[in-house]
Amino acid sequence: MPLVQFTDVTFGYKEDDYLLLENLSFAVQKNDIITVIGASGCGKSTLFRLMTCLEKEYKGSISINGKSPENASGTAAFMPQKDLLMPWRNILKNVTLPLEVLPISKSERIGIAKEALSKVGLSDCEKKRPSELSGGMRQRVSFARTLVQLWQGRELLLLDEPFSALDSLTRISMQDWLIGQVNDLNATVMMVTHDVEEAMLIGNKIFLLTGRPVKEISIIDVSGIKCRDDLYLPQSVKLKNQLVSAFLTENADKAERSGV
Amino acid sequence: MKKHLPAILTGAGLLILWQIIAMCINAAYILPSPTQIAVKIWELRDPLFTVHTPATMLVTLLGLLISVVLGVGLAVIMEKFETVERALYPVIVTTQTIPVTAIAPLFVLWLGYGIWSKVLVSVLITFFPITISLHDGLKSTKRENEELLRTMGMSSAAIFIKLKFPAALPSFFSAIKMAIPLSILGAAMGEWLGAQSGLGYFSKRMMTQLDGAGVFAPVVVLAVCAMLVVAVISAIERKLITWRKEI
Repeated sequence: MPLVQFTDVTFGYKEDDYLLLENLSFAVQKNDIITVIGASGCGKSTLFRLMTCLEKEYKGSISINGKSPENASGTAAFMPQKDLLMPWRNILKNVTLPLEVLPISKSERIGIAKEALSKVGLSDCEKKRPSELSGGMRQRVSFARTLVQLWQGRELLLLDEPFSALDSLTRISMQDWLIGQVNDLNATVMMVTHDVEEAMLIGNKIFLLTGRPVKEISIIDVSGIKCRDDLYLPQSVKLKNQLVSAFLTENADKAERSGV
Repeated sequence: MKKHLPAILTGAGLLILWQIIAMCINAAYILPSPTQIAVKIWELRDPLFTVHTPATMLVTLLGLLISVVLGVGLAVIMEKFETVERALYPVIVTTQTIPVTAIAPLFVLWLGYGIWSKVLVSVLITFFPITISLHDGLKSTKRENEELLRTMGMSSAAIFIKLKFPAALPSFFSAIKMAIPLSILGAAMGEWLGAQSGLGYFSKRMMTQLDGAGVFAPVVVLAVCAMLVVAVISAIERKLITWRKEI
């Protein structure tokens, strides 16, 4: 049974007069590492909003681990685009936040959070405030906050453009860091990104969303790309050019539709 | 100290100017000089600090406490229930258009010369900034923060405690700092209109005796009390909220 199954899902935001998704079907198998790419505003993050039950009014069927999103609230761990760390909490307390809804003692919570911070290499920052950390470090804290949810039984990791706010050098180092983390996790991962290279590097499969509304997803196998050097192989360069070209065509179509 | 130097110099300059003008007019019942007021405060220190200041501070404290309870309650309910917000918000704004000085004598009529008529004046003036500032603070949390907590499985109550309330604390402290002088002003205004003790009452009594310095003396005490309480609240705020500029 797939971990995520969309069957004929149709969705549009109430305030918009157009649909984002129409009769969209796809499946994500357990332990898949999927990167989702597509033009801006095509509905990539909306997929996550539907899976995490932040959007409830859709047609069709969504199944997360065999349950509807309403009943699967303990399945997905979500890492947003911005770190959204609470400035009034220190780093350790930011990481314990998702554990505070669970029936575990405070000392257990602290133990788990310390382990997660150690995993992301920030053990020495426990007592610091978010404002004292760099952008990359804050994203790692955000990842640690998501990680503790996976350790508590959540199976699906949803990453929504986690590095888009970082400068290019930090992003490269964070991508390499994330590959190691994801490989260690043994979880099912879906990551939205705008960066084609990032999508090829981190995912085993790429979900390419095209059209408005999105009616189907093109699935591209990139499991052969294991490290950054593999991105420079001829077949990788060719694939990258194809994806970039698909992006450009999509953006041109979108501009035409919106009359720009 | 260096930070406060411009304010100290400006204040000192104004006091010197006031002293010169008062000395030129040379009629203490019209404009007493700062030194005359200081001398008067010293002369009247016993009734001022043992009877009237505690009476006004009691009214202020009660008014402030009731306003905080009322303001926080209203802000929380309005944040939680949109229908209540739509029903109450215009009413709350309307309460501020009522000329309190005009209706305060009615409070004396209803509640007598005891402290409660003054407390009511103080509450009427004070609860508004607390309600509105806290309500805005509670509303200011970003939707994405709230949604993240929902994906973690948090209930609305947990989101309020862990996100909205801490995020609204800076607004709450701003409201309290605004409310303290207003509360003192409300208490004094109530006393001015009808009381048996208090700095407002004392100021009015000095007025009937054409004692200019005596009128100013309780006013100075009121201002110093307001500044001291605001300074204490600001110190607590600085201790508690170290992240004001980060939200």
